[in-house]
Amino acid sequence: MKLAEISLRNWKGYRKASLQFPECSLPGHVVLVSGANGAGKTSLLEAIVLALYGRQGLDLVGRADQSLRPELSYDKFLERALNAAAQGRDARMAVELVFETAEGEVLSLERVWHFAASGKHRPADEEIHIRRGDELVPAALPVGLPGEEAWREVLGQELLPLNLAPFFIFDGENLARSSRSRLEDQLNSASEIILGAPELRGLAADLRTYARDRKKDLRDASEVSLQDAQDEIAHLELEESRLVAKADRTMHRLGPLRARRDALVKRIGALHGDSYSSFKTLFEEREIQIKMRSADQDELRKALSVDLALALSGKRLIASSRARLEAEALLAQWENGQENNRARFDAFIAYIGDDGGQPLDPTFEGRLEAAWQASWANAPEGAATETRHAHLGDADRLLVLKQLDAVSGLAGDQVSALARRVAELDREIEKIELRIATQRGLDGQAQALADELREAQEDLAKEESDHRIDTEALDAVRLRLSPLRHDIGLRTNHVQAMEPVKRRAALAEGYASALTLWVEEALPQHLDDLTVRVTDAHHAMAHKKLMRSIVVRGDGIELLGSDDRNLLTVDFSAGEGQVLSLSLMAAIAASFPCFPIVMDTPFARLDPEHRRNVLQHFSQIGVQVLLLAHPGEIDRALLDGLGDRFAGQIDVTHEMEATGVGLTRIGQFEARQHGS
Amino acid sequence: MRPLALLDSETSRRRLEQICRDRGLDPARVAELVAIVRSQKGKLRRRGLFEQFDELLSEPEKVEP
Repeated sequence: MKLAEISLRNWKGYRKASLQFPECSLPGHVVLVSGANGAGKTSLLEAIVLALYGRQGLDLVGRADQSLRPELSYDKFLERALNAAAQGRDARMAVELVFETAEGEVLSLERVWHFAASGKHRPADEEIHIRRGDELVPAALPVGLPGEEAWREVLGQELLPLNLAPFFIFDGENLARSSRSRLEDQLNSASEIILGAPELRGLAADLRTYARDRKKDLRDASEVSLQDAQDEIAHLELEESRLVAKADRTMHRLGPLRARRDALVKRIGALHGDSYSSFKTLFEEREIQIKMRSADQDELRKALSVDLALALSGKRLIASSRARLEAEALLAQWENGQENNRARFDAFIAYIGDDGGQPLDPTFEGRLEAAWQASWANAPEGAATETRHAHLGDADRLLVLKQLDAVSGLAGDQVSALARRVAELDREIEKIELRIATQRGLDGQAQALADELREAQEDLAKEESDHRIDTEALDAVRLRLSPLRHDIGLRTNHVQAMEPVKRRAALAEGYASALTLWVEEALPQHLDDLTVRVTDAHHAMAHKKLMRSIVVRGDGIELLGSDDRNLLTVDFSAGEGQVLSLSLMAAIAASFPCFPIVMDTPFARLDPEHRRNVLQHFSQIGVQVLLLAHPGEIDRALLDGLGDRFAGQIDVTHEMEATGVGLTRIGQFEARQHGS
Repeated sequence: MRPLALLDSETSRRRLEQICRDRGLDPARVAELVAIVRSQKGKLRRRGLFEQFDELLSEPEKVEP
């Protein structure tokens, strides 16, 4: 990728200027921007950095070094950068970089800063536009979080990732102070970026998230939960069989008991002749009373064992539990509706976004999104704000509500009433027995028969009561079995339908694991490759051959001398240190020849031999090199020695206008005279 | 958009093929997965990403023995 043009508007001394590099047809061309001190060379480098990275780029600007000038924030730096002629009114400052890709495409980046009349930078209005040809890449996004994050991703993909920038954009002032150690620190992350490791790790993470998301659908249909349901059905079916058998046995006992009772009644009647009819009526009445008492006793027992505790907990608690569950049911209905509606909304956006192949304007999309969000902003009136009984599904919630309804009518006074009624029935039965005794007289045979009859009737009443309880239990078991059998059919179908989802989730996890292994294996190999490149670069540029090898490791570098001694502790001269930094830059640039190298005042500390070696080496890397240097820093003969690899030069000059405002002027691009 | 360096290198592509073969996966699908994620670059919400994964992973695997 080559830099073809830099346009500046109100940027420092550049009121409206454009630098064009028309002759850069070869990838390795060196272009010289020459100017005296204060002419505006460093301003050009700063324009490139801040156009690319905005606020995040400030760290790469030597004149804004936060360790030396902590007061110089991004906003302050920009306010000082605004051209003096544009101050005192609402103003805009802009930098546009135009690149030509290896495929011949034109890629441009423009960043625009806005200022109030007071000269204050308005950060919220900052704009950034990337175009491939005439097309925006992607459709315009606002600058400012979270859009800034998205822009950094796009810039990293289309131009130069921020972490690699120190290897390509060389600020002589910065490098003289702290850049070497920073370059060393960043070698490992640079290596990762060059390989695309963050991108592949991101893909692996996305695949794992996808797998987890799709597995959520499987949870309800899992074989484990299916097995649980089958186990419950088996248990209930066993209980059903037991109760059926018990009810059958009771029925078999009831027949003989009833026959025995009838026979006794007949025998007692025979003893009393004409009074048999009224005697039989008394016995039947007594039997009815015993049955009623038995039924009331059952009800009382049931109330005492199961529902009484709940009923006695108070009507208020029951009512509030009921209200809570109803509110949660409303919330669940609303959430389900929102989820279904979201899927339709996404499909709608995808549909209109795909129409005609044009990406949907994000501002418009953002508004649609906001409108959709607003339409679902509030849950319906009466809905709960959170689900406390998350373990209850819709069906369970209905069952609990039904049970609460049942017990809400039961109260302590009703239990007392039941007990009173049982006592009254006891007294009623006693009265009937007294009348029977009076009617039949007191002879011994009748007395014995009456006692036997009473015993028979009590046995019968007990068996009938047991039978009723068993029948009720059987009904309850069957009531539970019916929905379970229906549910298990649905679950079985669901499990079968989920098989492809399960397979996709497993594949996603497989690819995530393969990607992770692939990346982690590649990184050490790439560091070995960088070791060779850095060592070769240093051997080519340094005229003292002190180092046998410069080993790039995950946590920095090792400088191995001819005797394998680590030379990191050696105090190198400023020039030697700079050559070492330049070796790291050259190795990264050679490993990732995707962006021009921009060097500001690169040779000030280097002797003539180092200058020649550095220039020769960088011109052979295969990327465009933009040199920003003053006329005394670089000998024209050195540039001519590059032959075809030197494209030409542009001069920048600074002058004061009559108004006292400085102005930077840009000369014409002077192409190298071939053969000169 | 810049090609992915690891996919662009013959040596690392061969290693990926080996890793995928060992796991019964289709190495060609990795490039397609990368393309899907790249199509989402710069978007605030990565809408439709999982649906694209669904579509790709639903296709039969082409795995060489």
